[in-house]
Amino acid sequence: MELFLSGFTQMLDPIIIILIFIGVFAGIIFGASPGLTAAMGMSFALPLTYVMPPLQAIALILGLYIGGASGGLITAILINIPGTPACIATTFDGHPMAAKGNPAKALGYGIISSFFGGIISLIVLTFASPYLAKIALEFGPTEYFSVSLFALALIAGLAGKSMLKGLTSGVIGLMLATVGQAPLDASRRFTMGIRGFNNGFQLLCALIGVYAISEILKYAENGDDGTDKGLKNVKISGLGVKLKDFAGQWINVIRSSLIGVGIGILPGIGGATSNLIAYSITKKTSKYPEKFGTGIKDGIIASETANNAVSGGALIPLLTLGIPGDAGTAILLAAMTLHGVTPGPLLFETNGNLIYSIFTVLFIANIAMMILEYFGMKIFVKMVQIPKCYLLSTIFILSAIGAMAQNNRIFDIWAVLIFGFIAYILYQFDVPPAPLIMGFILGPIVEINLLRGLMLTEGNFLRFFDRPIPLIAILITIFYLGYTFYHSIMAILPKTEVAEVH
Amino acid sequence: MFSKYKDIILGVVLLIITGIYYSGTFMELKFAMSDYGAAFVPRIYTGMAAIISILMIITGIWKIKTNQIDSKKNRLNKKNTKKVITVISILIGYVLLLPRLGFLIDTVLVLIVLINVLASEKTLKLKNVMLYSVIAGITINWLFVKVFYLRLPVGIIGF
Repeated sequence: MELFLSGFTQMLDPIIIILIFIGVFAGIIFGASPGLTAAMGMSFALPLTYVMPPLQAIALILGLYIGGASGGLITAILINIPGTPACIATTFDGHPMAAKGNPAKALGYGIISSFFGGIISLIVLTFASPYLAKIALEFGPTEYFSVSLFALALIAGLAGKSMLKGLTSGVIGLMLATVGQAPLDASRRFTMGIRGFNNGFQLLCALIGVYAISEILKYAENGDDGTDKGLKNVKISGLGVKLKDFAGQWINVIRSSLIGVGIGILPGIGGATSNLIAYSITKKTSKYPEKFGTGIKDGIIASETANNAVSGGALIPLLTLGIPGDAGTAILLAAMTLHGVTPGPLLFETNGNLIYSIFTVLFIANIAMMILEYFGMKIFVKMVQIPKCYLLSTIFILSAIGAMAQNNRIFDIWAVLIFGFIAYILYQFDVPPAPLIMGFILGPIVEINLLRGLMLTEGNFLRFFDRPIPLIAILITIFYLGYTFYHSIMAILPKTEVAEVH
Repeated sequence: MFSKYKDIILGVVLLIITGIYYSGTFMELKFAMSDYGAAFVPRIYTGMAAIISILMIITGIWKIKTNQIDSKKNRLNKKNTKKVITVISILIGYVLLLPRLGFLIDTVLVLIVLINVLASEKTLKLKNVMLYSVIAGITINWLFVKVFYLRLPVGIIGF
């Protein structure tokens, strides 16, 4: 309690609060701009923190981290282009709700859900981090493989009308992820002698290509087809939603937050998958799964609570073990180390008040995120009223520069175009793009952990089942796939009978 | 016509890609650290993709036989296909010209052309489009070069 109070008093410094707001504001802009990521913003801000005391530096970087985690929802909802990979599932129901004339409501659900996700993960981080970190340490390759395999199986739930088309998209994502260096022996695969392929494709390039470039091509094809009519002449008052609108959603909020925290704790899997997993599970357990994708609040809440809960989850291994869970926490680790703070088990004993200051920074950052997004809503909606030809052309330039910024090579813009063209061709065949991204993200994780697991078990796959987590995860995966296949076959069969009668 | 055979075409294309992908698993450089080399997992994916593509073809044939064809009209027509191809050419042209013209000039030119092509049915004032493109190009260039210290292709103008 003493440590908590001491940590909290340090936060009364107005400079720290201002830095949190600046960080969150910048994070929202980075998160909302397709092609720019929170991690990029954090790395740009890192040199600025050299001259700051440790807590001020951490406040700025954490602000960027929290703002970036939430900012992606703005473009995901308003223009159907997720600002970050963590907001892919927000497009499924967020954009349809906005296009129906309720952009304020869609943004309101997204903003409040982001806040809930952030706060729930903060509670878990404050009270359970040492215990959860111990569990995370128990995770070996077989556990990682089985959990990633389960996440991959969820592709079947993201497939939309045709499961087979969802699986097609997923397997294309898996294949594209194998281009470049093999994970264990660094052999070059599928490079076709092209130098740019040697390092494979970056996730950011895949995301921008699949969502931004294909959106430009779809606009060229369909023009202003009236689907976004609901976004014109919208008047916004308040947050668009009230707390009572969340009635019946609390299980969804808590479940999706825990999914986000759970995925955040596991280094390497990252927030990009949490929203899709939470969305898929919410859809599967819903009483009205057929309404998902039409613009219902359940989908937005699942996606946005999960992706923001990742931020707290990812801080657990960072603070307790010194292991960063994603790119954002890796930069945070760098910022802390630069200022002489070494995260790890000893941090809680030697620098307890700093830990509680960090928790307070997170709390204030979540509030700042809600305030800034609330006041920004009118501007965000105005932004969409810019003619789409201007908006999409500018997004293309930002996407190109964002892709190039990662490694400073023009090949990454080519990669963006390749993914964009593939997504556009798949769109012509009604193949959904989200499973492709899911396969692309999870493919390397599944591969490296399968190979490591096989090396550990001397090639005996059955020994994966010796440990409880892989056993349970693989059994759930088999059950889930069987259940999904059964339901998709049952959905087709009555049609056949009707066709035969006619 | 395309709508009718959509699933079959998709299945066949995926099967061909799978075949090419499979042949690629024999071409990698080998530094085998274990029995499970770089080709192990891609070959599992090959099997998965082959099964999916065959199922897709069977489903496509079955849909035609049971008359469960998507009645939606094909989205692409002569007019919009031309526009899509033009946009694709502009995007490819942008990347090709980037190292030669530099970020600033290439961006301004592409913005002018792309905005006009995407808005071809609306009457946009060329003066406004040009003004927007120049301001957007200069602002983005300044932001990324001066604020974020990114190295962008300078091309012929040298800055």
